[in-house]
Amino acid sequence: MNIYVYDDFLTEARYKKVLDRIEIRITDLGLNGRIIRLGVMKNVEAAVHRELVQGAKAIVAVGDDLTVNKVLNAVANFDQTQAPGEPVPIFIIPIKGRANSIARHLGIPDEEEAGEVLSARLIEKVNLGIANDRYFLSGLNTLCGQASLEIDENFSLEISSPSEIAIVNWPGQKNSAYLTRSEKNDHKLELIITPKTRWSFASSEKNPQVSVFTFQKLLIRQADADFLADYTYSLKTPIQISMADKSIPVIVGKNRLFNSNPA
Amino acid sequence: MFNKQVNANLEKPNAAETIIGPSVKVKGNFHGDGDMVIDGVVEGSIKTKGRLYIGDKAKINANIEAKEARIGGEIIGNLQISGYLNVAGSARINGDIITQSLSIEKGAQINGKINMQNSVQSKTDKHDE
Repeated sequence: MNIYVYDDFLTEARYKKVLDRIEIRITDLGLNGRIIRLGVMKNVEAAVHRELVQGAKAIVAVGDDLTVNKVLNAVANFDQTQAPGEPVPIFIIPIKGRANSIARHLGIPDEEEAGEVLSARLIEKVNLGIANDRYFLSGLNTLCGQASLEIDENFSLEISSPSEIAIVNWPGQKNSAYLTRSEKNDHKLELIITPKTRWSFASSEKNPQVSVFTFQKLLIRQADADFLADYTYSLKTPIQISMADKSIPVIVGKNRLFNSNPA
Repeated sequence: MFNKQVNANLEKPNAAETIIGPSVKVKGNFHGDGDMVIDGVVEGSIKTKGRLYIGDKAKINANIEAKEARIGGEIIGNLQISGYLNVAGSARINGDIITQSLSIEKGAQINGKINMQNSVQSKTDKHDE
């Protein structure tokens, strides 16, 4: 059975019609399942773990990037010995008008077409990154004025001018100035530092002088801004970042923004 | 025959594994396997099994080991290049050079000894033996 995790913002009245449409489409495609509605009192991990033990077929995050991050952390923290068999894939039904960069990257354009993608069940295994015990799928990013970082315990970086700092897990992810070259599942992350001059803030400067490093371990000792994991989950320094020793199966669309490697 | 031009300059790699832009300052042991481009500031040591491109405005206070290198900017430290070394006209090198093959552009300054060897072995390789 598919488990649909509705984020708490979906209790707002304006999302009722959208949810009705999604539920009708899901029913038409024969993909019905159980719904978990997140709220202040609801522990997403406990609820998801209960469903995984009972043999869920897929865990579907209905919401935005933050919903995905909550669901993937719940799935990644599950003790797999409690539910023998293949790991259960996650899927995303992105709600229009919200931040949905992860869904776009996975080739799920919007809630209208999500049902068909779920139905096709094309699965990719994606390695997870971890930042201070929080798993992430896509990466971390921030805009800051100055920062101090340490890579692989070998050398340190000092940034003392306004810059966009991005830690990238996925290959082909479009940074503002640089197309990352990371190989998927290569157990390395990429750090991209893009200087933000007044000029580059005002225009899409084609070739600012970016810095690029690949690493296994990164410590962000200090920065004058918080970092966002998966574009949404806020983390304060110090932040220890590395690849996690976990991968997660994800149901993706055919228009995903990375090379195919079916699980 | 005297009109024949041979391009001795090493091009800036388009797909370097590591790029240190001008806004970044690196301190420590900066070692890698792939190609590197350095346009910023580095203090410590630099070592790569690939090609190294140091830009005209870079400031390096480090010993350098690489397979091939194009050196511009200010360098304080020794260079050990196992293949071809291209010293650009912008280079200001204060340190000794060991390399197999060398070109020096007009305007470059080198304050140190230059030792040409048929086979250049890195210090760490020697330790491994």
